[in-house]
Amino acid sequence: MDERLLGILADSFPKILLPGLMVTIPLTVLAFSLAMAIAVAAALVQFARVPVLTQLCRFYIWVFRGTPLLVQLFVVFFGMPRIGITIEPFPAAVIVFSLNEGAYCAEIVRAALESVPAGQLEAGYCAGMSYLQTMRRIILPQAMRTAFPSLSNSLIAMVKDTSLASNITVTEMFMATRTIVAATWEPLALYIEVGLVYLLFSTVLTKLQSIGEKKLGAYQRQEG
Amino acid sequence: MLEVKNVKKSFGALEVLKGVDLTVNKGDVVAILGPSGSGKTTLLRCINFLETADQGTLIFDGEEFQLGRVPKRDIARLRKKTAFVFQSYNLFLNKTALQNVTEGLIIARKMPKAQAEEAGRRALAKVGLSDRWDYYPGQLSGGQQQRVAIARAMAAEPEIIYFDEPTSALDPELTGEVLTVMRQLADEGMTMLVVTHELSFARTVSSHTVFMEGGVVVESGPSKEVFGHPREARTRAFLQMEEAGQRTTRSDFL
Ligand SMILES: Nc1ncnc2c1ncn2[C@@H]1O[C@H](COP(=O)(O)OP(=O)(O)O)[C@@H](O)[C@H]1O
Ligand SMILES: [Mg+2]
Repeated sequence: MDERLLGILADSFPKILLPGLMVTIPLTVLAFSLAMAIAVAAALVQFARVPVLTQLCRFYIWVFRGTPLLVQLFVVFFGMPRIGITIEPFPAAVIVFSLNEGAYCAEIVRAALESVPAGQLEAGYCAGMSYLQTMRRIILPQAMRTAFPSLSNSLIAMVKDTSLASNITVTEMFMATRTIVAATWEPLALYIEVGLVYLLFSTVLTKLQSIGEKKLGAYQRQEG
Repeated sequence: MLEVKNVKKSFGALEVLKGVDLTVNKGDVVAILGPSGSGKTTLLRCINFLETADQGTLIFDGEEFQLGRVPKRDIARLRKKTAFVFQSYNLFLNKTALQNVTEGLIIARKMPKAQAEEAGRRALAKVGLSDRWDYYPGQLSGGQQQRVAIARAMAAEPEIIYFDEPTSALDPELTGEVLTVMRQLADEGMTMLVVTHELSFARTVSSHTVFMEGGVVVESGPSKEVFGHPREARTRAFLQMEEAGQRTTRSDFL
């Protein structure tokens, strides 16, 4: 490897990492938090079979799981201004990522809720608790424990998918890398470099996932 | 204190309860016997509103309700006066033994946490599980789980506890510890309605025995009479069959 290339890699590293820390991670954290709120709400509505809202949730999930993320980004960022709704790139990305991720996670949470034995809800009733009290204290915590590994996987997938936001001019890590490539013409080294940064992020999340699973799994440990 | 009249319940075309009457007085221990499929579980579930009966009257503490259209508010109020012990324990899997006992006290009955924990520890001590208070259900044996479930039931100081075959899911060597706890509870004067296959428990602990078959009560009366001089041929046949079976398969705990 020649000195010039090493220089470019060293120079570009902070220029890639910085948008990673300042854009990719905040985008992921914000969108995933919103996605969780959407997912839990949509899953609970379906679990309780709330009329009308259940159908609305099914429709929402059907649309967002059935169309490409990139198309959704383009519709919101490039399409909406046509009907007078102009959204800045970053908020547009947050909206689309949270809706898209929310649709997938809603299915994960719903399946997890349904896997909780029916006897748990009945035991809550017989202990004098209401439906909502039992859901909040007994059923949802158990479901979230079940859903945790799948939700973690979705989060890790989403960190990488945020690179698509470069297509709607969000200056996240991948966008930053493309800019440097255009100036230096070292695509191979630079794209590998940004790939390694994504790998670093994913690895940290995977570590956090296994720590989280250990903590949450306490009650599932069997004796002997 | 508890009376049900003419309880009917069908699942689709299958008529499971065909007009069941039952009375439980304060301090009574009433055993419900009967072959599998006779509707015993369904009856208990209808009485505690886990199933909605098609028809029937429930009188609880002198208050009369038409089963099938009891307002939610009344259901919630009645459930706080009762407790249920399930065949499959149904302990809250994400809660420790102590939390299983205190959860309903704190959340449903709004008892201060310290007071609930004291009541919880007392209840666990009574079922002999003081040292397991911080174990999760998955770390306890079936017999221990059922004893926690009984502690959960009695800590709420209900007016009556319903038991649905509390020992049927247990290995034979673990039924004794659960029956002992139930007997102790009966001795303390707790009102209990117990669906069971344990004839010796019904004979020696329950004050009254009800024999159900095919969705109707075939015979009921003081346990001494039902066991000593069964009036109905079907009761006699059932008791003989069960006794023959249990002598060979189960050791008598009493
Ligand atoms: N939720 C249900 N749906 C349909 N059939 C049921 C349901 N619960 C019970 N049954 C039927 O009702 C009958 C009585 O059941 P059950 O009350 O559990 O009897 P037991 O407790 O005396 O064994 C059985 O034939 C059973 O298959
Ligand atoms: Mg049964």
